[in-house]
Amino acid sequence: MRHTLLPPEERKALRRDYSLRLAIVFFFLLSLASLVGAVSLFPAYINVRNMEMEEEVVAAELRASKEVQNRSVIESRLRTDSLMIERLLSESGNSKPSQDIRFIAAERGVVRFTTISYGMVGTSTVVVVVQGIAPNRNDLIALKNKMAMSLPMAKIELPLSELAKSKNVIFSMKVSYPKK
Amino acid sequence: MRHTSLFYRLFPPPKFLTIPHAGLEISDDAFRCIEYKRTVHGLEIAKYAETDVPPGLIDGGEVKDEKKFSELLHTFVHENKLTYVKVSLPEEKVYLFQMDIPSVDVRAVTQHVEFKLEENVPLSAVDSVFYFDILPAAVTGNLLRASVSVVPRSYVEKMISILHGMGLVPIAFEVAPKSLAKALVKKSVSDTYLIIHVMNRKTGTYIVSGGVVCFSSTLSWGTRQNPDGNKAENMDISALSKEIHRVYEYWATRPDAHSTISQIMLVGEDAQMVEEKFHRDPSHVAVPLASVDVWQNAFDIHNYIPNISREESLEYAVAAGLALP
Repeated sequence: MRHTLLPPEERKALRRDYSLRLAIVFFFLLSLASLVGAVSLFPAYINVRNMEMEEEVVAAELRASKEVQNRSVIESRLRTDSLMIERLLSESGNSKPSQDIRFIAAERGVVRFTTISYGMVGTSTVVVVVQGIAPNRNDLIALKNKMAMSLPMAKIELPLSELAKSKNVIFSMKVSYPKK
Repeated sequence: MRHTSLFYRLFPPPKFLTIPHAGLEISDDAFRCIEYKRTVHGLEIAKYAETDVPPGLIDGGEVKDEKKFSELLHTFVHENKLTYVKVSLPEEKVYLFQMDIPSVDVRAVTQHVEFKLEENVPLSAVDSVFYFDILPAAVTGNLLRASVSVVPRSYVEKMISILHGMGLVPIAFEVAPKSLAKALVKKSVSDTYLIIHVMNRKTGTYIVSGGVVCFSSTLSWGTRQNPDGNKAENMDISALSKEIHRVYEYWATRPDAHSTISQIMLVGEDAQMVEEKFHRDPSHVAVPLASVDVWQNAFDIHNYIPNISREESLEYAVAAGLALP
């Protein structure tokens, strides 16, 4: 450009013209690349579309087939089962182990429980076995008395084999009471 | 062959970006244009045209009748469908001088030239447009020197306004001797040549060293000086011979010139006729004088033969140099 003998204004105009041409070529190439990209994706699109249509045909065939009729039978059975489960759950709704365990845990005082196992004997008796460590014998006996007072219908068994120890007494207490 | 040129030949950039241009010579005698096209084999001539300018319409680059000039140029431009052009400037309108430069850094040299411009030409930096070529070290004896060409800004602006008026976009102006050097001197050669550009009513003598124009002068001697404007078969070449001797001696005795003239190149209208005259009387010049191949920097005539005859091609030397990419 410095060898053009053109005044600076003319050089600027030429530079502008060239920049414009450069931009036009750039956008042309960009649109060409987009077009080529779209054209190259077209076979893949057609392929996917065909696959989709095939799957739709298969699904329609399945809907009309015997297997689908069996499915409705299975579904009705499942609905029946579900209703039965709900019924059973509602019938056993009065016995809530969580409530019983929470009640027993609230009574523990200074005694530490390590295990609480909850179970049923037959359909009417609840058996809760509580294992743990009591600071001393008196605390353990106090716990037994408290539970006996709280659950007057309960039968509380506290074997005394380990009670010889005066401190940190390991115990296992069985509480049986009728189901509410 | 360079890999880049091979690459560009095989994968040419889009025409839209290269902005193909024509070389447009506006001289006192004629308008001439040449446009090259790129092919796999290199450059080829896409178009060329010439139209004579009536005597007196342009004198030493000065347009005497702007309306007539515009009409003539408009017809020429539209007949040849020209848009982007590189235009020649007459040597008479250009100040050429040499100066020492502090470095080869373009910006530094530009500032230096601007600063020293008024010491060398009767124009201020604001009123002028200039360019420079750094002279090869072999020519200057390892000195840092530049050859500076200065043109009045008003002249360039006037030309631009005329060209714009007819829908032309000038992408560059080039001094005629520089265009000749581009067309006639091979790029890798650092020899010194004396180029004689013969015209109808004047003759330009230019010393080109390492591809850079170092000296230029115009002699008011032409091949059609008789009043009827016809070619003078028995022309007297003694004036031209004297001028050649004068320039040759000037260059030989110049203290800062470290390269002697190795060849005299003849171009222009009737250059072959002038060459013939010189060959008839070899005592006229001591250095080999010959008309030259104006296409040597464009294409190899062994591979591509243009439609222009050799004699005619000598007239197109300036346009051929201008049209080179």
